[in-house]
Amino acid sequence: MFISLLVVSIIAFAIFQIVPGDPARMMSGAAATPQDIENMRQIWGLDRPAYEQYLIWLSHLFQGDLGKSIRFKVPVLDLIFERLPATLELIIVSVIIASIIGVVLGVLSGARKGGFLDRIFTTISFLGLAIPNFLWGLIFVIIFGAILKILPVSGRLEIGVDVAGITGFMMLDSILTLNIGGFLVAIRHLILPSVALALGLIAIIQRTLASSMVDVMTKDYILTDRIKGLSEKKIILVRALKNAFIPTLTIVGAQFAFLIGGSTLIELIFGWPGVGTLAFIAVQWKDIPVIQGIVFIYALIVVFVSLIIDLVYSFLNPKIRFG
Amino acid sequence: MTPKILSMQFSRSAKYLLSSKKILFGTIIVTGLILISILAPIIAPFDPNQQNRKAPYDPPFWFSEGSTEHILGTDSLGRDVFSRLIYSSQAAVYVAVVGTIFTALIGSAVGVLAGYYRGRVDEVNMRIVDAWMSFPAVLLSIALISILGVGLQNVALAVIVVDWSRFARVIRSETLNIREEDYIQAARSLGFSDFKIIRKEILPNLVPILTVIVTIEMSIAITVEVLLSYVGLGVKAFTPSWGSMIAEGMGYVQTNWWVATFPMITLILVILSINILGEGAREKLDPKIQTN
Repeated sequence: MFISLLVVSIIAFAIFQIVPGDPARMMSGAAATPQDIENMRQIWGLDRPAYEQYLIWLSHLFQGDLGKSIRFKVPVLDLIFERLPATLELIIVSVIIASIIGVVLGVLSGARKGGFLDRIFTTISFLGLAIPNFLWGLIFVIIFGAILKILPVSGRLEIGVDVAGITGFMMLDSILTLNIGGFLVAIRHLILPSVALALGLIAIIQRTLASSMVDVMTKDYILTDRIKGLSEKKIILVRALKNAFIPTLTIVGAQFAFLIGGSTLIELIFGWPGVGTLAFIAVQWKDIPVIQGIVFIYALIVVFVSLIIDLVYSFLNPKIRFG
Repeated sequence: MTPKILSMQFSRSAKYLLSSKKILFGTIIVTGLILISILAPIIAPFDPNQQNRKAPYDPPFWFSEGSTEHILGTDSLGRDVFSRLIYSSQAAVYVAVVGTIFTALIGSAVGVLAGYYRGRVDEVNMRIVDAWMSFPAVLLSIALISILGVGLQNVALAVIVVDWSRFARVIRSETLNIREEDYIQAARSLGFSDFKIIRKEILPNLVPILTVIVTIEMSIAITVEVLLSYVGLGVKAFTPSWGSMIAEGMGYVQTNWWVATFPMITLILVILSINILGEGAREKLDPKIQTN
């Protein structure tokens, strides 16, 4: 865990060492005075050897300082944390949608391998997996936003609808403030981006679950259940699904980096005011400290999520305990 | 091996592979795409950047206002959508070929070394690979382009920098399996050098899995090119790309749907075909699936 974090921090630092030209000038922005550039050089030790720069960067990091945004003139971390709830809300809703739909499709396919439903769902999941999520996002914008005009394709709320900010999670805030109108609007705005983001994951869950269900269904204990006269429904839903669930959980964990990366573009397409949109603003302004901060924070989140998944995994499956 | 036996072997394995409908279909589309990209100047009726201010937003030919001159219509600047579609394949093919070759070379080299030598080499490599894969791919490529600047070479570079780790991981675990085989032990007891074992025994046995992941990598590389061009971080101005076509067309998709829709359909067709090819290759080449 500690080593992973160390390696992640070294990579995040190293990538931005390839900035062509004077890094102090680059990090100070286009409108910087010579004095600004000199200050930047002093604060971050940009005239020193790379390893010293890394240690300086690390010591700033431990103080919660990832530098200041060129565009917004505020600390990078403040900027990221202000927008992180929007991104996390999108991702969490996607994971929930993907888990529900993926599990239903997976169970139905796995229970009757090679059957009619299995073939349909396998084709759907092939499409879900092969077509990248930003393309799904664009397709949704065209179908539901431009042609059918039944769902909103931009932002988190509508003009005239306001939800008091407490946690930054729009759905949670509207429940906390008993704002039913706001809650419904927030959900409507979440549908398209979260489904677009969820499709790939649905496909992966469907595939893994279907194949592990086939495995589980041939196990002796299922045969025993059959002999005991348990209904097929109960065997599938209670006995088999419980054991087919563990591989699914691992998959969700392993796909988290993919999900959080995919959210960047989905945010851009749906005008979602999260960290992904911030990344694009930062790129346009060549706001290197912000880009570096986002890259680092996202990798950090991925490392933490995989740690949590490992812990849950060992809890669910006592055979795999860490020594 | 004499060239004759080699060519016999090749034609036999080609025949075996092409007996799969999926592989046949995928190969035809991919070959077609490469041919189109090479022959673009001959096939395309117009220069992709030739503007015609008098004929913006011409619909495709099957509409009453459409003409057979611009069979898939024109965009906001009166550029021929069909010609732009054809020329855009060049950007996609370039990134797919260059990106995939170098990703495969670097990733396989790291993977084979880690898997073959195990121990500390493996440990260090896998730590780096794991950490590398914690960085979301899309974000990392956007960050890289923001530093390196736009252009096809940098897009290919971004693909390589991001994706070598996935190759390394797959190849490493496959190498770990292969090195435990009896024939490797036999080669070692015959006094083969490590280099010779890797070249003569390990690499040939990696070909099946390499074929599968190379195919997948091609579709990923094309997606990355389109995605980066869509957000304006891919091709330079005046280089046509499906991504920049989509981005431009989405601005007026409500009124003139064809400009964004045709490149999307093309992209979906290309990606699906490559994925079908990959799936066919996996079915034919992965012994684990064959026995099931």
